[in-house]
Amino acid sequence: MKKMKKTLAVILAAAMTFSLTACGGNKAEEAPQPDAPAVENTAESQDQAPDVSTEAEETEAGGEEVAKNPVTIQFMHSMVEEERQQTIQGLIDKFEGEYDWITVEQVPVDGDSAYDTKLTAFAGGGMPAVIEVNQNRAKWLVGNELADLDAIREVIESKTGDYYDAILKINTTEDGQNFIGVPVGGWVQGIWYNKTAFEEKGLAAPDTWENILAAAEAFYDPDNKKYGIALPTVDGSFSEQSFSQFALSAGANALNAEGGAAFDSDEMVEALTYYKELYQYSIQGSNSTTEIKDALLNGSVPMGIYSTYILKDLINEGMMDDFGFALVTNKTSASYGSVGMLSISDGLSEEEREAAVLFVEFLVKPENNITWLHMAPGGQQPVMPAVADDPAYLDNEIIKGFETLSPEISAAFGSISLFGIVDGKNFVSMGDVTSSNVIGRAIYDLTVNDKDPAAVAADTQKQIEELIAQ
Amino acid sequence: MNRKKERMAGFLLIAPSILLILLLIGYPMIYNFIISFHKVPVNPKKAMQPVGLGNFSKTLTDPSFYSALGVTVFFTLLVVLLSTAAGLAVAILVNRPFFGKKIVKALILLPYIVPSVSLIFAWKYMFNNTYGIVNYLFVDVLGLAKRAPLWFDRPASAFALVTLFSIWKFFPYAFMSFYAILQTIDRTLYEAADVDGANGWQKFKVITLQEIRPVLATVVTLRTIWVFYMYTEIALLSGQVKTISVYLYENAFSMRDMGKAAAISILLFAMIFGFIMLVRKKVFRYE
Repeated sequence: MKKMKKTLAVILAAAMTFSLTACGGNKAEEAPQPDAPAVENTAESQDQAPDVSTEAEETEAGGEEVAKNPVTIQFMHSMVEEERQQTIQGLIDKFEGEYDWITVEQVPVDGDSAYDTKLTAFAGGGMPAVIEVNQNRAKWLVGNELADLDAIREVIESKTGDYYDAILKINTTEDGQNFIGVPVGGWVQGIWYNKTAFEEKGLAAPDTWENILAAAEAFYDPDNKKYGIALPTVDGSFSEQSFSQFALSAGANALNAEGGAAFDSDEMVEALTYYKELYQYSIQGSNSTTEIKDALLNGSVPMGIYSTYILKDLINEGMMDDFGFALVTNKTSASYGSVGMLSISDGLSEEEREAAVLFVEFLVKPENNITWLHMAPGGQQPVMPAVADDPAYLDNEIIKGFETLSPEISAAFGSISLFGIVDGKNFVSMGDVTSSNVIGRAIYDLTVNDKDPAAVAADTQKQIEELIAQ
Repeated sequence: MNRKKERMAGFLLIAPSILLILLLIGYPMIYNFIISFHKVPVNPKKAMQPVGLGNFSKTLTDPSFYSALGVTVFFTLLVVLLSTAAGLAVAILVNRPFFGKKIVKALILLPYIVPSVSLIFAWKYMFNNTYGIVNYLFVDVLGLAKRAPLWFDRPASAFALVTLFSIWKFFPYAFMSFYAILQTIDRTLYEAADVDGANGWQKFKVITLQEIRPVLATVVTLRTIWVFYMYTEIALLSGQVKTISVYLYENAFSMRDMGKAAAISILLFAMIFGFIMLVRKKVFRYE
């Protein structure tokens, strides 16, 4: 019996040792950057190395023979729809045709919270080489030193002058020396309003605070299930995006010029008070994208805050001609915008890094960028003037459908203002503030839970201070 | 000698399972335990900083933790008791021959087999403020309120609806388990009870309950663990039901405080483990 126990103990110890060793790390030759191995070269691809190297000859440096080791990189993105995955696979196939020693694997991840969860999990080890992110996630990656700023700059500098200035303003790091990602597309958010309904009531376009409030009041008729406005109030980032336009147009920002919390300023309390007043005339409760889009399309409201992603629905419903787009204006105009970017992970091996740079450069070439933008025509807007004017980009039914609104949308890109960009400084800590959802929750409390604006401002200020201190 | 060889062969046969358990359960548990004593940076290139019992004290001094725990205990109690009772009641009702039995059984299982996300969106549409059918009936047809109540935005109604949804969604699991065991009970026991003049309640208490007790223990144990940690249905239905899983998720992925999240999970594991042991020992003892 004792012998049996000993045997069992040995087996268990061996099993434990094996399991811990198996999880403990990769061999040095497999992971030249042991701290953050992004993607391993697969055994299959290593076996094929001699053949592929031969095939890869004469592909670079003007015909000079360069032996390339096969390399596999992963590309994490949020395009989970099958059609979009097929489009991306088409781009990947084209890329692999040009750079045949590189294999790109798609990692599609659905949903906002799932994306954050996955990103956090990956950050613990094994980040995909290329990641599609918005500016908040890009800031978070930069803030945690998970992005290769040199590689990103390498791509951007090869395209200097190609991007809109407003896009580059959002895209710079805090010190102004680097970029947080490589922009591929963007969307703007503002007020969509039914021009016909406004004209019938003789109301001015909802651009200034006064005009918005006056229109909301004029249309408010809850007994007949008609409301003045569809205002984002959900306990989430949509509310932060919407409210930021009112705050920034009043001269309030979540951070000050030193990067500290500034949520309890008089201007911020003024903006919160206004937002709460506006909510009186809104459809009630927690309003997220679904509620607002439905309300705009079914005629419950004559105006609502939404992004350019509504364009496709307006066109499909035959409502495009009725709708106009306005920017929130008070002391200044402010629109919220989100720039879709590609981030290159830090800690890649030399081969992986080179492959990632080549892949990102490939994706932002005009012809490929147009394919990317056509996955969600109207929603994702061009970030480069050359693409916006390209006949190939304009040759799309949806894009043709909102041609009349193009000047307003372009103006919105020029007016993009974001919490956390102060005096030209783009504070990366704002990425943490947004991902913690303190501002989204504050707006929910202010409106749905009927909290006092000054109390909400003070409470949020305290939470942002704590976050920055961490 | 042969017995020793047999034993050895036995151990070798279960070795892959032991290895898998060590790999898939043991290692994450040990790692979770280790990081609960550290401040964990998101970037793995940065070293973890030891904080001693800091993460535990931070959790235990946070009023939100106790509030979330209280909500979770109440929620778990209601969902486990009511979904088990509903499952048992329906299983007893269905455990007899009647016309259309197969269709009825299929309909009972429907909420359990339909993906949660579809059901959640259906419920959210039903309770929508402007065009939901519930508010149409509540406000327009019955005139019970002047304005549509904010069902998922008020903590009390949100809690009630999430509880109701969970009972409805998960009672078929209890139904399936009880229906299976009920079919194995010897009918002669009930016939003997009839001869002795036992009423329905007495037959249920003395025969049915005793026969289904092992299954009841399993259903209650598993359901308690699942409901205690339930996240998807709660978070997607309403952001206003702050259970411990929501609190844990916010710490781990919104605040990205993995050390504290690990400490919370260890505290929860200790609680739920102790509770299950107690319940099995005191309530479901077989001796």
